[in-house]
Amino acid sequence: MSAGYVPVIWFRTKLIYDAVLIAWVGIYILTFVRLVPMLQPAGVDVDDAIRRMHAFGTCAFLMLSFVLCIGPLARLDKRWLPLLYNRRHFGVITCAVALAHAWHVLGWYFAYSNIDPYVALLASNTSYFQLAGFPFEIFGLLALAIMCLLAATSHDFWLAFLKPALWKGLHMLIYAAYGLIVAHIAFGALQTGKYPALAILTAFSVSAVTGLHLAAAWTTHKDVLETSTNAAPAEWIAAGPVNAITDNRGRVVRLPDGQNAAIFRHDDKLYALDNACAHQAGPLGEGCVIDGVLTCPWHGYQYRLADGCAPPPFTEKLSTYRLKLQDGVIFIDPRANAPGTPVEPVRIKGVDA
Amino acid sequence: MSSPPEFFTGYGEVPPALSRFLVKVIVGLLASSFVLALMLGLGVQDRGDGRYSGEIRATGVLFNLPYPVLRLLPTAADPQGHTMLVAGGGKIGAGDIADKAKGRVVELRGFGLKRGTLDMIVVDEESQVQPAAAPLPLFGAPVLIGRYLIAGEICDGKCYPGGMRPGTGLAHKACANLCIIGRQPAIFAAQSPIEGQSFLLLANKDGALPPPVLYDHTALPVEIEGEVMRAGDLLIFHADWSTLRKQ
Ligand code: HEM
Ligand code: HEM
Ligand code: FES
Repeated sequence: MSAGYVPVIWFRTKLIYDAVLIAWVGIYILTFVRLVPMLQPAGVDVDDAIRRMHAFGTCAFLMLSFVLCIGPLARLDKRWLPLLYNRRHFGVITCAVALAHAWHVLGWYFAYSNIDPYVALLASNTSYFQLAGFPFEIFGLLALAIMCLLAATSHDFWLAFLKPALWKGLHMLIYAAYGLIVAHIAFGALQTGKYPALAILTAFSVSAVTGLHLAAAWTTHKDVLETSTNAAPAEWIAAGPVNAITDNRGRVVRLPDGQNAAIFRHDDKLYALDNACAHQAGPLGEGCVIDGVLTCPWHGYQYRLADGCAPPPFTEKLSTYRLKLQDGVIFIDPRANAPGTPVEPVRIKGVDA
Repeated sequence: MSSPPEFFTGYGEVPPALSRFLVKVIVGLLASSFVLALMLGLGVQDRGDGRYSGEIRATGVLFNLPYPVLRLLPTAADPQGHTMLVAGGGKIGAGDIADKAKGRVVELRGFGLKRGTLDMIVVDEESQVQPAAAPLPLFGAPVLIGRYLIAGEICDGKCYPGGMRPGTGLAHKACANLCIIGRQPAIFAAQSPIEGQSFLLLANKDGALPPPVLYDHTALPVEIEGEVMRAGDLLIFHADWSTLRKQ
């Protein structure tokens, strides 16, 4: 990375990303609350507060559905990767839109009484033990709490502080939030049976989110080489033929201990590193070698192949692995070296590739 | 930079093929925003034909049956007398205000709410209840019409006539409970009219306020048995809550 011009373009990309996001929300909300009332027949009279809570609620749901689709879309087709690039801004803006929805609900359905709106939210419907009439607002509240938690811990500081494994676990709560919102809609707005557009949207969202995740899981499963699990840890493990890896690209190998390593080919040499990026655990095996440096597909962090270290001034380090080549088959030593340990690459000489 | 086609780092130059793809995606997304907002926006239903009818005045006698009602002075055209429900501001009932002027002839000033035959006046301040100089008419106690099993929905009497639409339905259950907790009148919206009326003021078997068990059944289709009483042109349902069944 040439540090001089990096920040400028980096900011430009993020600015475009955020501008598109905000434009998306703006078009949606303005169309919903300003244009639609003008198009409806004169007799239709919907309170503004209700229009706004519907507008922000459906907007947040659409955004949450889409942000969940970006991951699998990018797995299936790399051209979607730029959308994944700034997913955390997407998440934070979604969280803000959801807050606006809750704000309008609290300022309408839970206002104007002598009970505090926040108390009313929890206390005015206590039919927790029946399906029909269940206080569906609780599902929304829990989902919103998850979204706020993720938004509050979104900075890379928290990622470093909580360590990637915990942070990632925390982040997976977003799926719980999605499930809660589907329940929120199913037990709430859909019960009136008078909002077919919302029913169609919900069905479409659920099938897109699950369908894409299944498709992506299948593709990833196909691309990852499972190694035999009965090998003793110290033994070299066969990791497929050398010609399965194209120049400047990698291949993911699942090791017996469940860790993923990625084997890369560059300049007729082979290298192996940890598959998880030190930034946000992006899949390095799906990255590529640019100017001799391995580049993460998610946000472009870079690592030297020879020792897993980010080029100065950066300080990230990845574990490295030892490789050997026998009759065109790659073998990997499943014991990871300490992060940043240099390893002599394996030369592909006279091997038909 | 030797960036291979379609590989995006966020800081390198964007390859032309990728940038064409991204432009298409951005245009598609922004167009989808507009189309989705139209679809979902136009799908929002106007749920209920209740409306505010502006500022009104009405003269009559206040009763708690068990919620405050105003029985208007009989006229030649309406010898039986019309009965209006009386609500307070927001989600707070007018009980306190009405208690002080109970059984006297008063003039109420407030906002009118109307849906079908449900006629309501919203009185949110004591000063809106003024003594009126008129002879006290002889209103009898509510009379029993008969025992009925009625199917319908328990609603709050202020949103049903349009205080806050939708006024019926589950999305609105917590809000309806909040109104009833605040002593706004609870009503029963009957599926088929009783004596030509499709709503009845709700009370307990003995004519007192309905019991808290009602909160689990608001906004849901239920059937209840009870005695239907009449006060002027208003029907009051003295429901026997032990007979309540889900529909
Ligand atoms: C404290 C949190 C929340 C509360 C109290 C709340 C409350 C409500 C209520 C009362 C409705 C019914 C509105 C009606 O039909 O008239 C509703 C609908 C809806 N909510 Fe929420 N909600 C919350 C959080 C969320 C979140 C986090 C999302 C999405 C990310 C969401 C998405 C929706 C959607 C899509 C609908 C259906 C459309 C509509 O009726 O507005 N809600 N919510
Ligand atoms: C706020 C700080 C956030 C950061 C730093 C962040 C970062 C990340 C990262 C690194 C991933 C990939 C996880 C993995 O597969 O290892 C991810 C996934 C995701 N995030 Fe966030 N996120 C943040 C907030 C949010 C919020 C508030 C939302 C939604 C409202 C959200 C929605 C998502 C979704 C939908 C995924 C996709 C999960 C998947 O495809 O596997 N994020 N985020
Ligand atoms: S995960 Fe962000 S650059 Fe690798």
